[in-house]
Amino acid sequence: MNYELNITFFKIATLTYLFAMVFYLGYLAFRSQAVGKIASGITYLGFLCHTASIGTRWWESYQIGAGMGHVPITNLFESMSLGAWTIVLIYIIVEWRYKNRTFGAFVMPVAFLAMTYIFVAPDVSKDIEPLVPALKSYWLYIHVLTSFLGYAAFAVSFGVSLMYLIINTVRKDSLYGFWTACLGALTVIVLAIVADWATLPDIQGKHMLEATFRNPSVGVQVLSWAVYAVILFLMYVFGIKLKSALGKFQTSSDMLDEVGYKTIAMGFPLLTVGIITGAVWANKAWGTYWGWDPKETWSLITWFVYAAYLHARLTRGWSGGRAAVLSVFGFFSVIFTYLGVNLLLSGLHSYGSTGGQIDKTAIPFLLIFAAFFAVYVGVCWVIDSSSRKSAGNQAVSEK
Amino acid sequence: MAEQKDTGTKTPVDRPQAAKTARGPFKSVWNVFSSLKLTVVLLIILALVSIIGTIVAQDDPMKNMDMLVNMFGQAKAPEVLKLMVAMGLTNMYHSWWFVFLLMMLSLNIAVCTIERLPRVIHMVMKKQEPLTDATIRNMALRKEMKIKGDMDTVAGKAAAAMKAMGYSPNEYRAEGEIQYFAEKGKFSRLGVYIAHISVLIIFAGALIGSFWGYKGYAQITEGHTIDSIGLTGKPLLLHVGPEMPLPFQVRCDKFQLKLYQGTDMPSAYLSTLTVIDNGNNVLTKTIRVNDPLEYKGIRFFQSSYGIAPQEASMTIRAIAKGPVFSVHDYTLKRGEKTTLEGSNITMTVSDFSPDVVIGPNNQLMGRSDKYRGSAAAILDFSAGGKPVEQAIILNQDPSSQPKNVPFTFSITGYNGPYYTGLQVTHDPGVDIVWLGCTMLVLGILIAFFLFHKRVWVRVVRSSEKGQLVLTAAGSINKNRSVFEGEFKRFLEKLETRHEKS
Repeated sequence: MNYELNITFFKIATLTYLFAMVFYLGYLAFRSQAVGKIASGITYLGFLCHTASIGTRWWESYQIGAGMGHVPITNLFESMSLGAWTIVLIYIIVEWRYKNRTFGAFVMPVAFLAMTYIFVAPDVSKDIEPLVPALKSYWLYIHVLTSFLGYAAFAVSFGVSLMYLIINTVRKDSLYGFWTACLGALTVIVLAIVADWATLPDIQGKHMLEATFRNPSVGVQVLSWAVYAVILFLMYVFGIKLKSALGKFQTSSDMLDEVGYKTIAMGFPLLTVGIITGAVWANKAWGTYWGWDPKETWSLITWFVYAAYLHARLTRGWSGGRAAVLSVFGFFSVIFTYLGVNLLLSGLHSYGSTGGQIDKTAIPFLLIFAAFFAVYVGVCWVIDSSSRKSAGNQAVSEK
Repeated sequence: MAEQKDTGTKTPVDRPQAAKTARGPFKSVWNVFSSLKLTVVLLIILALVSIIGTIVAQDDPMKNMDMLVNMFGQAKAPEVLKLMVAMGLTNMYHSWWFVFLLMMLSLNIAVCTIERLPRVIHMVMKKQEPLTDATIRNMALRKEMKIKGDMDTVAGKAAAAMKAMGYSPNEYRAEGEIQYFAEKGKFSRLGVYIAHISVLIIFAGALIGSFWGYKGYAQITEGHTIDSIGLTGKPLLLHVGPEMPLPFQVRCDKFQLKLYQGTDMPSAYLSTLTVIDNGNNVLTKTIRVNDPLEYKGIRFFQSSYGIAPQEASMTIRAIAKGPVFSVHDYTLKRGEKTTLEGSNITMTVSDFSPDVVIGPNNQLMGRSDKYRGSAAAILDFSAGGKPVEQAIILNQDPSSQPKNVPFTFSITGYNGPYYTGLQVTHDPGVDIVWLGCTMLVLGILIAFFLFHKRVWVRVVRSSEKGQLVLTAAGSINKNRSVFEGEFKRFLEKLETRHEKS
């Protein structure tokens, strides 16, 4: 007998999130309350299916027998599913609390992307696996749950901060460069994952993004980088349209700034508890509460970034754009802590890892990818400051 | 901390006033460390340099060499590795410069705390003052109403409204004036400092652990007893050799490997250990991963297992080539001999290994101590006391057979008592670290989610006869938007009480 009810629910939830995303985008485009309500309704439905997926997976693990039953949070597939679930949960709370549906278009794609990625990713098993002896501890549940709620709060802060940056765009300056680069990079990654998906039959045993950026063929690689450059250019040209579409909602930027801060104020204690419970557990399992394992180190790096955010904000008066940029960087660090460490580095949190070795082509790829991002933001800044200078000169010469 | 708005933004309080006027070299160093700009810079530097240690393998020269040969080629790699070692990159989190950064952060926290805590304690200890005409103007939240009536009744109703909101009001009376005022959660102002001091406590606990704590490793075969361990992490302040004697003995009574029913996946590793102190069995416990044994501050963790190599035996199957077909299994330890059934040939097992692979130059290499069908054995054959032949039997290679012996050999088993591999640690600082962690979480929760709220109601006689002026005021140290709602509800309560009369 196959225990696959949970996978069916998972598929339905993923599809529902896709529809929710489309309706939220439609809500942004047409500003129709009815469309917004449908989007929320679909989100609730998807969340229910997702909850059912996790619940049935839990139940099914006990049906297998042989002492295999456990809460489904112990391999990469299960943890990613839980991650998307917590993001949607926190999003629903924020939507309800602030009576605002415009964030949906930014948060739902993250949930949809997480679910799709984990469903199609190579080398990720979707089977219910028995717990290895090291994971048999009640600390597992406390550690994973607090860490994930923290990650989810940071994810919502990320979405809201991006929106803050978009709405507060006045000129095509470096901040404009920053948010269009973020959206551009996200778009490129989505397309690359879709390309991986399109070549699904022979994807087994390959790296992520092997269909594009990390293709054995140099021509495909060059083409991929060219597409990345083109997408950044398109973002530069059309980003301003997105800004005016969003601007029509007259969402208060003070409110966005506040939600961006409050979600971090929620996530930071959760991350702290997540790190500490991890240390307590490590001390119980290996007798060392801190071993500078890559996962531990990256969680500390994330903690440092958000601690810097809180200090800059609470005592140095950083708010608005600068705080939003820091929040976005914080979330990059979260993503790397959660996924990058498992997929690229080796260490003790080896669930879903690609083996004990550092994935050699991944690091150059990441560096070049980040370099594109940085060069693009730099170019935006140069264009903006030189155009302002010439505008100033013109004004002077006209006088 | 001083007043903060609900969004967490506020006017910078980076440098307290007292420090600005200070002079002299000590004072200028002090000023650097009392700066919150330094905190933000240090946090970001720490975040960035920590990344290096997650890419460069720590304490693993082989892995780093592999990576460097890939990047720089065979010739330059040793040079680069030497440079990396000199810079402390291969043991980064214990390098002098990383420890220096952590010390800077600790100093920064300590100085900031010393600078600001006395003022905050003063603020917390200070009794709430009644409002005066001067202070009333500074109140962010205030409302004035004109009311007719008796002064005591009006003020009494205000006090009742305060009580209804969960405050316990103090009374102040002066000529033509009554005030009620109350505050809640003033100790929440200390939350920030609890959080910061806790970081110092965690560092202190970690230091104590590295000064006097140690890590080690022990392998105990079932039925055997140990009284010392091999050290992998030495205490910084104690002189010890690579072997460290234990103040007691530990015996392994039994090791068990449990599998999930019907699979070959392990579900538990169990070691039954007995502590022998002064010749007495004082403690027996079955440990498993996540459930260690602790005695006299020394803890034993389940870490690995295997068949004890010295006492292991191998089962060798001999199949007679003819004329009579026969199969016999012989289970022998190293050095043991037996006569092969149906012949006068003596077989001696001179050595064996449970897991052997054939290396790049055709040499045999032991891979692990787990039996998984790739075993090897060296067999010596003799007849009538005269050596006949030596043969190496490889399970993966059926052609590895003796030529002058009429039997075909294969290895069918590897048995013996188990040993259990234990991680041993002693860390006298760990409880201090947990104290710091608890304080950190409490401090952060208090700092973010509890507030110092104050309310006042002042009733004064107006210049118009029989007319009273009631002023309600409130303040909060942060999160004003929440308090605004509470203050509005308070005003509504005040108004309805007066309307009723």
